[in-house]
Amino acid sequence: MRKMIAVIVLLLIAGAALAYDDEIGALEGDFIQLAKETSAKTVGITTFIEKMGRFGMGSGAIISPDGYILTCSHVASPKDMVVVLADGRRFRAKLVARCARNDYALLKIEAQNLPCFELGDSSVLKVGDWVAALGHPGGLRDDSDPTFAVGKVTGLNRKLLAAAQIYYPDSIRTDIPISPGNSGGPLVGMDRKLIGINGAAMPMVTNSYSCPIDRIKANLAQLKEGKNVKGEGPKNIMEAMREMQQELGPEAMEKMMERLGRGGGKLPGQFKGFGDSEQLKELLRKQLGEGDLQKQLQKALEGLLGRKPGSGDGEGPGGALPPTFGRKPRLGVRVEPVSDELKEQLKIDGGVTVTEVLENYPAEKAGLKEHDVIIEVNGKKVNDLDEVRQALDEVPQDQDVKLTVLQAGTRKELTVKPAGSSDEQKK
Amino acid sequence: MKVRLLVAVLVIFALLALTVSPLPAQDAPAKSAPKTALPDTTPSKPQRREEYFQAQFRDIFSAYKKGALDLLKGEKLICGATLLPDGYALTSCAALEDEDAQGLKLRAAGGATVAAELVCRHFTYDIALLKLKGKLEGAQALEFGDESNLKKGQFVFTLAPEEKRSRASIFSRVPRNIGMVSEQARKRLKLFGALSDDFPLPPRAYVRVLQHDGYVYADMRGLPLVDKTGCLLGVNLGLVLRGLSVVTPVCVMREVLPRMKRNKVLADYPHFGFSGESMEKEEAPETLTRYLRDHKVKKGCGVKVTRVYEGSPAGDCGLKEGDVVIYVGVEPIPDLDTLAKVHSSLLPHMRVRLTVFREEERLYPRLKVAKRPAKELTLTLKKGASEEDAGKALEETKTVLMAQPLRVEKNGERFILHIKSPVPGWALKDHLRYSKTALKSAQ
Repeated sequence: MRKMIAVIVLLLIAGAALAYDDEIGALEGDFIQLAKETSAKTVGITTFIEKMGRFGMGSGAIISPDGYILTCSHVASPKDMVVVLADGRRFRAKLVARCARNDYALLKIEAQNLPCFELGDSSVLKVGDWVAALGHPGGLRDDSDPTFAVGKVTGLNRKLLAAAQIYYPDSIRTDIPISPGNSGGPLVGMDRKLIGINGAAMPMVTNSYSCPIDRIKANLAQLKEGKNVKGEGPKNIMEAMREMQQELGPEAMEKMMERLGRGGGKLPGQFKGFGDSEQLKELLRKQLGEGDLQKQLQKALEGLLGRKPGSGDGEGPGGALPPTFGRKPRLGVRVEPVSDELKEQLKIDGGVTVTEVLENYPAEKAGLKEHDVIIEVNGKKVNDLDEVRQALDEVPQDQDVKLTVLQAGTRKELTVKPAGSSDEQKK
Repeated sequence: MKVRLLVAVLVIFALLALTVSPLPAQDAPAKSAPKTALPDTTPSKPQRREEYFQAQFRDIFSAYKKGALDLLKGEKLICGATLLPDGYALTSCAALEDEDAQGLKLRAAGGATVAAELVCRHFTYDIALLKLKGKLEGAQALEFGDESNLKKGQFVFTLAPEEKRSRASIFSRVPRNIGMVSEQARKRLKLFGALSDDFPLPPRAYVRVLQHDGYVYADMRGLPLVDKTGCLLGVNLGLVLRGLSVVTPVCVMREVLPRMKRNKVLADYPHFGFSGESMEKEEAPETLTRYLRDHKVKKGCGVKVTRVYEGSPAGDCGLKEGDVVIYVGVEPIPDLDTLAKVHSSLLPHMRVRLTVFREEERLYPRLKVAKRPAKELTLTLKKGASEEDAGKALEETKTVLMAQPLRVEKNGERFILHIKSPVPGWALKDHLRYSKTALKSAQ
């Protein structure tokens, strides 16, 4: 009898120890089941990108047994589209219609009895809900089994100007890790229904954005008829920028301003399509006064950030920019004062160490390399970034700058030519 | 007595099963939910997946962290490592490539360290074997698990000596091949083919890996991946893309560890089995030039196959003399140089789809890349190398390159070694980097 009680007690303890916490064990079971069911309904799409002359890859979601497939508009193309099912079968796909602005499209392949998603209801989503994304990050390669990843809904109704002419007015934001190749793939709720189409992701933070299914459902009939949907755009550029600031945060806005500064008169991709609107110009003029569009946009961004960007010496996460924003950087380097050890080793009493040489900037062209030590700028001794800047300020923009550097122990004179005529392709 | 006990056991298990609750229901959707989306809510409890996983799996991280190590060079943390039985540890080969293997230390949970020596690198599977030069307090080797039963959606765990660096993630799939990742891509996340931007072609691909959706940062390479019982599923290699981390599985480890311990066999190199030459514009048929123009392949007209070797992958996939190869996978092949580069970035066991022109028709044969057979290689030593150096170099090629020495000749002041090896000349520096031969060139 005592033996039996002992065994029972042991079994109960063992049972409890072996089991996951009930919640997580059941969640995992659900994930496994979800992955099994939804993999077959996810497809990969390869298209030929005319402009680049190479192939692009994305994903899609089957929504009818006879072959209607939803994907992102930026994945779809009118010709050369091949859809690959999870079991490996390939089909030529036809683009039925798209909404380029809000980034969704309807494709059709000729097939029968395909497993397909039931369309869900994105309006009942709550922040914190578990969701899954399937697709082919990195492209299809040789196999056709989609990747499965999960995360939680971290925001609803997010507005984001994702790319040139692509605007998400009410996207679902999640923290599922997704990447290029996942575009167009399904966002699935735990009820196995399709609640969104994944479109964009921010590399810096784990934020992924999906077009909600409700928007697509509202326009599905029109798409099926072959008629493109106009879609919704941002109210105006100021609104768009404000929304971006909210979504992307100051770091991304800094990068935007950097691009504006470097663009040499060209608007960064996101703003294409706004730049020639008279209304927009009018609005900016009212808010910011006269000036060319470029400068006005810059001012607007500065206003959003509350300060002039690029004040970093290159230190810390915010200082990811060339040190002199607003005017074209003279050198294109990040520097820090030489350490005492190095001073002793090199037998110098000052100078700055180059910690990064930015690509396509004058310093790189002049042969400056990481770990070089700049002792003098145009004959003036320098000990930190400010002194470098001061020394540069004394040289007119269109003149060469002479740097005295220690490169691998040898003293050298490098001539840095002004950025300008010999300028390369923009990034 | 025994029968009664058995009955008792069965009854208890049944009870246990009944008490496991079903998935906690998501809040039931409000029947009258408005069609416009709900406003953003600021949640009070952790709402991101990482926070949730960290909280839920704390016990697993603390229970099994003893199998995870940090690899240090001096005081600097390079990456992670996985403790194996018998005083060995595995780490990521790529993480070590820029370091010469001196002054390596392994650190366990709790902070104790021990010196470690590099035994062997395996370039194909991206793992490096280390030997511990002594005992390591606070470390305990993990049991080898079975990764063949992993299911998509299952939780897997990356362990680190410090719990806060450990991560939980979802098993995503077993890819047939994950494509090619450049060494530099570990930082820049670029991929070969459609998603790369004219980046120098990479030297490494992944063939047999597991894939999970966690973040395996550079300093987490080499850390063990385990299942919920703490059994080893593999060694983390790195992050290919967000949501795409790859792991060398235990089945590979079981296969190659014995050879690695003897410092033999480092890599398998690719083999197509055909010879070709760049296609001349004048010879190219109209349909070919038009196709190339449509696909914006500017320079060159492809590679014309001049010879197909019997029994080779090219022969098996139906390639014939006179065919013009214009794409390997999604990479355009304008000339022989490009083909050589693309070829050198592939690995045995990979399957690539070629796009080939044969008499005005376009074909898509599937080629399964094979292992490179041993071929003759000429190594030229530097001027001033002595006879002893030549002898040592020859010895090293035997052990490190699995080479068969053929003969040694002296041309003026230089020694020239003729060997037969499955390692191609362009890859030699990868292997001889730590074997310190006085090598000038290899062909």
